[in-house]
Amino acid sequence: MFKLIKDKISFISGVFFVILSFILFYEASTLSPFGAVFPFAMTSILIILSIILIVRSFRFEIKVINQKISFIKVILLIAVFFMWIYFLERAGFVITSLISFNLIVLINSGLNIAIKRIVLYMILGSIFIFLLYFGFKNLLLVPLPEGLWLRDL
Amino acid sequence: MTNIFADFLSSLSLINLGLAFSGVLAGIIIGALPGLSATMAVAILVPFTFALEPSSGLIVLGAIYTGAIFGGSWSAILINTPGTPSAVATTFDGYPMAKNGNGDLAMSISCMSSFIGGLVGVICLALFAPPLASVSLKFGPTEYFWLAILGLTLISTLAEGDNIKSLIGACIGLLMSMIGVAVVGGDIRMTWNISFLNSGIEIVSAMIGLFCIPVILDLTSMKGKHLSDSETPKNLRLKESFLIVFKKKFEAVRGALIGTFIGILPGAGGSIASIVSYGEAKRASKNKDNFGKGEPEGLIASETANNATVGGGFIPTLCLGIPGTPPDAVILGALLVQGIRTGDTLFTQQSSIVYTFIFGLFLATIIMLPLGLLMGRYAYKSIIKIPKEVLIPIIIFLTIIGSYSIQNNILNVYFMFFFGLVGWILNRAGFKASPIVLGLVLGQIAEQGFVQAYIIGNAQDNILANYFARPISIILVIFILMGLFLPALKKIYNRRKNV
Repeated sequence: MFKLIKDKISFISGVFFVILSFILFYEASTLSPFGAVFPFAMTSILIILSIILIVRSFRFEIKVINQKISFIKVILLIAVFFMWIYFLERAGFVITSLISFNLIVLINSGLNIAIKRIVLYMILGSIFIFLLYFGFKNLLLVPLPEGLWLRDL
Repeated sequence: MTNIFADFLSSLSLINLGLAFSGVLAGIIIGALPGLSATMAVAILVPFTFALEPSSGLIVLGAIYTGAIFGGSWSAILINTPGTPSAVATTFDGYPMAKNGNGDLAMSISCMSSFIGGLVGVICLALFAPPLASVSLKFGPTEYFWLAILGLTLISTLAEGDNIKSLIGACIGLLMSMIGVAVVGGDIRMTWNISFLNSGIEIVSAMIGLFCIPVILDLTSMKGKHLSDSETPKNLRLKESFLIVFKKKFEAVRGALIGTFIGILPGAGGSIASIVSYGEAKRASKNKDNFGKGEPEGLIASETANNATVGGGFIPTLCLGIPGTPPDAVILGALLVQGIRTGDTLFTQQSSIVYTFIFGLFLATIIMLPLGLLMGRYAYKSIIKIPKEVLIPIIIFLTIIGSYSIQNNILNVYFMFFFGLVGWILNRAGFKASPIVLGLVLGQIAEQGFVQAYIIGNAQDNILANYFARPISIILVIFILMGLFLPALKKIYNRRKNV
């Protein structure tokens, strides 16, 4: 049967959204009438649209043009991005940002760029971080995290 | 007349000019940073205005608001991330223009269009405020519901890509907007016992994630430069931009009028205005096929409309005391603190302050033109010059700082990250970010209108008539049906014609 499907991405997305809609529809049934009326309406429309997507996936394919991705770079970037957020309140905004910013510069530079240039990027990036940190803290009065670990020291 | 002239002269005082200039400058910078909205810019500076004369304080707030709405277009054009929700439609053609090497042209066109939009909005505010304000009272819950649906269907049929997937994206956005306490009834929905979700999904952090992270991940994998450099000589491309905008003058004024009218409707705001204006521009254009690929007309439509909502939004704020947009609500608070009472009598009994404020807005819009052109040029040149290796961590840094500063809460940053990854996966499956974001933005307006209309219809024993038989609703429903089915009918007609 899977061979009959011409647009596999649309088919999988359609099935996923039908399941999601049914879960949300069921969840809405536990609400009061006023709280449930809009979720009922929207999940019903989503079910209809998803079924159209599934049926259409058997007839023809609508190609999605995607850029080729470099998996290693993307996974490394996501990992550092997550670390940046995770340590933001623990190690403080400045330290976390300085480390993560420069790690991302390294990930994106790879081995193709001269070390001198990478160092220059890191210095400029660090200046940018300090400038924005002080701008947000003193001009916009946004209290950026100072770090639990450093506060305890 | 003499009084109005005196008010005009008073708005031209050195202090007011300086305040308008600083306000526009601060507004542009804040608006250009994803995550920092016009509302936040105005709210931060409200306390500083209490020390000023009432009219000067209002001038600076109006100037910040004007600058911030325009500033939102910069990040939309340069990094495909709307600085404010009202710049969502600007990404459709602004970013493709920048990618094609016409970013400088896009920045100049956006500035000129925002100038025209701002000017038309302010003129309507000065001349027609009281009669126009009464129009907003004709919009009931049903009309708001249909207006929100119109915005969603337009974005789904106009945005590049598959229409069915765009409509599904709009539904996903609407479902996401239901997370938290229900607007009518007060039920706690879809929170899965996560207490942070009780207050709903923070729209701006979701918007930053959905728009920014797919761009960041694609940039990481991309070889070569992030934006093509312009092949034309390095200048402001003023003449070229002016000629394009001048050639599309009627379209620009139409966009501005749409923006002013939608701005008058409380709560509707710049996001619907720019989408409706973009849709109308595409419908009427001879270059329909170029929309979404870097068509300046699309950019003009979006930018004239969102800046026109500034003047339009002040009409119900000043005449009825009902804020048209969230920043208007903050400014309304400042008005009340200054002892100004809004309502019909405002234009007669406290006309001096009101007209000085309107002239101040006018002044801010004029100041925005040279300032925006000059700064826009440098912003574009800087973005072009920044190596991709540095630009990526800078954008990540801005997404983190932007989503954190909304409520000073780290959970918003996690949500931004989560939505970004989901958005990236959906994007690769052909689901674009703009319908999801607009669904999220318009969800509450749509639900409130839908449920209230249902309650009213139920009480009148005729639910369907309440949805479909009111004059404004009929017009909106016709537009929705046209938006949904006309493109498909046209395709069938053309295919048969060719056969």
